[in-house]
Amino acid sequence: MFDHRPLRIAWRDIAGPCGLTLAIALLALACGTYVQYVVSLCLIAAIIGVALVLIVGFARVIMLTGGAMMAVGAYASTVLVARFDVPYLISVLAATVLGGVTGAVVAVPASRFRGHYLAMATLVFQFVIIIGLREWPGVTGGAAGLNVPNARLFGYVLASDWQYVVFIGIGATVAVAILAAILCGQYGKALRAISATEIGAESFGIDVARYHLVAFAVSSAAIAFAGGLLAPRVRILDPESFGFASSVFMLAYPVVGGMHSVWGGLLGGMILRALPEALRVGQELQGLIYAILVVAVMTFFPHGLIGAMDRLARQARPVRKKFAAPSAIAIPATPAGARSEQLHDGATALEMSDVSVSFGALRAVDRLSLRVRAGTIHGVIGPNGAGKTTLFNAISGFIAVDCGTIRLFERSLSGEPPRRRIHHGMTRTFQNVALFGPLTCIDNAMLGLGRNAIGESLAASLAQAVAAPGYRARREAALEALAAVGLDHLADRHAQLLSLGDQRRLELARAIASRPRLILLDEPVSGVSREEEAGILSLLRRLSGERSITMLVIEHNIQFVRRLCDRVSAMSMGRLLAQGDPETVINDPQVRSIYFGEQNGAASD
Amino acid sequence: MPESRGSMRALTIATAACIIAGTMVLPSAAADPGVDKERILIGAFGPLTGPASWIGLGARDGMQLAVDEINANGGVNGRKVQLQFEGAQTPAESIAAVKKLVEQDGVFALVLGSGSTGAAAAADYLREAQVPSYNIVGATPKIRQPFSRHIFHGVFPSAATIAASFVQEALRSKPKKVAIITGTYELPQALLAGVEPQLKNAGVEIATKQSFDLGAKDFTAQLVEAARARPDVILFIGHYTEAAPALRQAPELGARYAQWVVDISAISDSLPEIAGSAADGVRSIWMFPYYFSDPAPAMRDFEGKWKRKYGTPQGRPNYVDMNGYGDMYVMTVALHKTGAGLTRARLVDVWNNDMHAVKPSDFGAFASDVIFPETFTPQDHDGNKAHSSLEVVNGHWQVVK
Amino acid sequence: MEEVLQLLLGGLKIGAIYSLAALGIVVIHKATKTVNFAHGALIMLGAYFGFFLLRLLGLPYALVYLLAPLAVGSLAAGTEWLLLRRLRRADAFAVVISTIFIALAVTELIRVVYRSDLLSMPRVWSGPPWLVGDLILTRETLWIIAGAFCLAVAGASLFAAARFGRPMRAMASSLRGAQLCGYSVDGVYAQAWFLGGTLAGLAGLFLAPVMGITPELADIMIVPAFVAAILGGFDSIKGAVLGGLALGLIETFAAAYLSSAGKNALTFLILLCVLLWRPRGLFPEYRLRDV
Repeated sequence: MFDHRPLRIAWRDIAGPCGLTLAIALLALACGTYVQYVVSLCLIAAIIGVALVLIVGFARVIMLTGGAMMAVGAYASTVLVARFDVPYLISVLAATVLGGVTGAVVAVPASRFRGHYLAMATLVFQFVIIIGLREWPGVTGGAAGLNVPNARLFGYVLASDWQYVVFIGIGATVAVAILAAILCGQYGKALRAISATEIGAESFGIDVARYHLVAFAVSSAAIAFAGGLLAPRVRILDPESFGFASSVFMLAYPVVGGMHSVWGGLLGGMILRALPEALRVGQELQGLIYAILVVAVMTFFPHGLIGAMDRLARQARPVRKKFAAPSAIAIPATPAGARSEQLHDGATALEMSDVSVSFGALRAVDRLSLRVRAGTIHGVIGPNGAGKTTLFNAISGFIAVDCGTIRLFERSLSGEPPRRRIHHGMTRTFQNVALFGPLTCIDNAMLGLGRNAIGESLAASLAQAVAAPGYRARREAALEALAAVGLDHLADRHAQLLSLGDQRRLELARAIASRPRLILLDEPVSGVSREEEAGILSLLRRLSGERSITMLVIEHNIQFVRRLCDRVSAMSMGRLLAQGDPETVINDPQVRSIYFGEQNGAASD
Repeated sequence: MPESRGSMRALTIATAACIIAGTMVLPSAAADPGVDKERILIGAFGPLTGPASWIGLGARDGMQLAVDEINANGGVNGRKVQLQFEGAQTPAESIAAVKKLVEQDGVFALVLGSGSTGAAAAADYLREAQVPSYNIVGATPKIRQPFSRHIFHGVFPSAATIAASFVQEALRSKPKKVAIITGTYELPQALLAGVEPQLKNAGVEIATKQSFDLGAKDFTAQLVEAARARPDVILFIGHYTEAAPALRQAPELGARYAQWVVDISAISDSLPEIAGSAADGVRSIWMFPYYFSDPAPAMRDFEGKWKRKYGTPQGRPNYVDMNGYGDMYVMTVALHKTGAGLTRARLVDVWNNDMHAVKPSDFGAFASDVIFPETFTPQDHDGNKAHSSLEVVNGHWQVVK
Repeated sequence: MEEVLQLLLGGLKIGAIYSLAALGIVVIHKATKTVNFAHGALIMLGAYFGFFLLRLLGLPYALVYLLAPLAVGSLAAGTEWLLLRRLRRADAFAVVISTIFIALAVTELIRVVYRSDLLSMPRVWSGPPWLVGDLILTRETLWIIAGAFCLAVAGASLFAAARFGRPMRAMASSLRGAQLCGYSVDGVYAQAWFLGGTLAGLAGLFLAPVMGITPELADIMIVPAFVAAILGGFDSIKGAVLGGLALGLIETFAAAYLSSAGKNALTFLILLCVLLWRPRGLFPEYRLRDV
């Protein structure tokens, strides 16, 4: 079946905003010069709006350096043109690059923080950059300002407003196109994944720090580009007009428009930039009206004007209900006996030797040695506090081991960050489902494919915009993973809307998409219904058999473990209590006493 | 359908854009900009919001007071004057404002009621557009340079002239050592650039130079350092919102024994109010012949008229009100001299060649002469260079000889 | 030597006001995990309410010191109850951004009413200053240092006190747990904002006679308040007080011995260093082990 959808998505999400930007520029040509001037300002604001959607909406960073980045772009391009006679277009591009570099510099210390510290760190840079510009009068003219000559393109001086509208319109369209491609493509999805769960993202090869750095760099570069376009229009640059107040005003663009889509940034930027001009009748009350408007939109339309429009659209459309049929397609179970014949030759998938993990005085894992044979399903049981999750976190790389080694298919894992695990063929699921909630099931599965290094994802985003075949192949692979767990008919459903059972299946789909050799499963059936439990059990066995995947499973559900696992290890207080085939371990008196509190081996189930 | 959602969005946004564009497009301007049989349209802009709003509001209200008076007395050569004032502070806002006034509203001439880089940007545009413009409060060089045949300057002389007057005032007490406390922002720096060399030429030692940021309120460090230098005179170059707390703090830090001279932007009734007795004896220069509450009839009349029209809000009228009022009359005299055949070219000719010692009462006796007479020549468009000396006596500013 | 002491006094004076400002921010953050970017506006409101009560209504200063901060506190609590609570349900991230714009709206409102006039407030304690050698100690300086400091300590104690502060600290540790214990999130959040707003109002009152009252106070005070809070470690009450004093001293001495640009640069440099190497601040309340 030839899937046309990716092509449509590209057009709608990228060509749409670009088309609108260009259309508005062309529309302005029919108006007077004053309107053309204002439209130029609005087009520039549109670039900023979309750039801020990237960093504020997708990456969830309150970036307060907008004004300073605009200043960097405006001043750098003007100094290059006025002092060094560099052609305007090249100056603007150079200023864009400088903005990107500055953004990256801000990101390096800033991305060590989250939340408010991050906002504060960006605030520091905002002030420092503006003060720096002010205190450097030799180059920037200082507080008195810097005169900006008219833009010169290919020997031709832009002098009239309509020429600027056309030029800025084209510039804005190009910028919006690139930003939209990045936002709607794999990079944007990965960013949203990070905002949903950083740990989940790291587990699938997403380098959070690098992604944040790129987010800072790209949005700062775009804002600097906007500053370079703005400079000839304002004729004089002075540091105060790019101060903290301007950063705040820019922040309103995605907030009012809608933080989660390119349209939102576009709309918010253009409307808010035009607003002071439309509010001229209000004279002294202008500032107050602006502020109250923003607060009102924030309070009553938390997802911005675009969010409100979407809500209206959804209400207007006839609702097509998805009925509460059994969500996942049932897959016939493999007969119980057939499993044991598929056990492999005894190659070791995972080996832990004398692993210890301590938190201060507490020994969470105490000289544990464990060997998981390739192709088997190995269970880990134990009471709460036994150290099972710590063990998993150590294997995944989120916690460092104090001593001992962990080897995955003969390869030592020490020192490797969690995001490298997927490259070595290991993925995992989580006790509290760590899905990328705001993304669709297919997006979750596509991220599970693992090719999420920053370079790859940026390239993929741009390639997807031109509907290259690579995207299609990846989508097919992801669909196949969804089909394997019975969720392919819910491919476009948002992950956070699924039932818990389906969410656990989706986590599985995400985990198998990259064709791993080992999967860690942390309580895969906790909280699901009996039927669902049976379904997941047969699913796991099938997947393990068909795809030769080794599985290491933590579970409290003893029946489940009994029926699923080939071997079981029982832990208590960080140590291994018993190890062997399920029946033996479960009936071991020590295990029974610690797990079930029995004293005399009396059966209880 | 996914597509319909996208195209619906596009349609809505395009419609919104058209509506917003629509609010800005008015019927196109008349062929002869700003002048018809009945009225002359004068445009003006200045900050109406924000920390500098006292400038824009003063300019607007002062000018409007003059306009009402002029119209009540028959207008200019049978035409009524109409004032269109736009709020603008930053360069982007100021250029938008003047473009609207010139290109959309079609004003005949323009008044700049702003002193910041916004006015400088607008001046740049006006030089190109060759609209007769009158800069009434802007002292900074960028507004005034390069020279343009169409741009004239009112009550406020250039920063260099102000600096010279300032130095002259400082030298009155024949100091040997001077300490300077100055703001880091634009206008103080422009004044400082003129003040420093002139002091050096006069053989005065600058014992220390302290600086503070825009809006600074705590001057402990600057005052302690200034006091340590034991100057005879302390020059304070900054706004009254900074000068007042500084003066108030000065006695506590041993910095008040010296003679304080502050620049024009520090002149306000709030200064003696906040600084209390520390303000007594502080001197400054003043671009007008009278200070508020002066018994001179012109001043009395002006204040009476202003209060009858606008009431008694705190801190008003301020000097920009006087400035706007007086300079509106100067422009009106020029309009009147140009005669019934009013064109921009003729106005500029008259202004360049026929404006000598112009004062408001030249237009009519009902006008109050609250500004110094202004003179323009083809080479020198700085209308006013005179100043008077002010001193705080018993908690009030007074003109002194 | 006197110069250093004089600078020290000046630094402590402005530092005491910064302490009050930073304390309000930290109280709100500790209890609600929200960074209040509207804090500068609340300080400004404290000054304006004081002006209104003292100058326009003619109330005695002592009463003004009681009523004005309470008014600001009530306004802050009201904002949390009516606006922020609603926002938090939709999108917790947006709450921080909304405080930025609420501050803008409040400042613009004051600008419409009062323009940009510089209003004055009389000294709380007037009379001749004391002379210690060449050192001048005015009564006002003493009032601010002692008064602001004592009130800061009182506010901190209030936060630590059982009935008032315990639910806040419980919620700071675990929202769910506190709810399960029967504490009402909405009620406690409103109380935290009330306390934070009251502290801001007090800071504004101390500030008003010294600096004069303009709408610019909001923008002027927000940065030092944050910097002081970060210096002290954003979650430390003790740190907020000490951080404020430290900042006042750093600013004053840096302005004296470097230029004003140098002062700014130094302040931000120190801030950046703290953020990079001691994110828990210079005076952390407790040590955290990363688990």
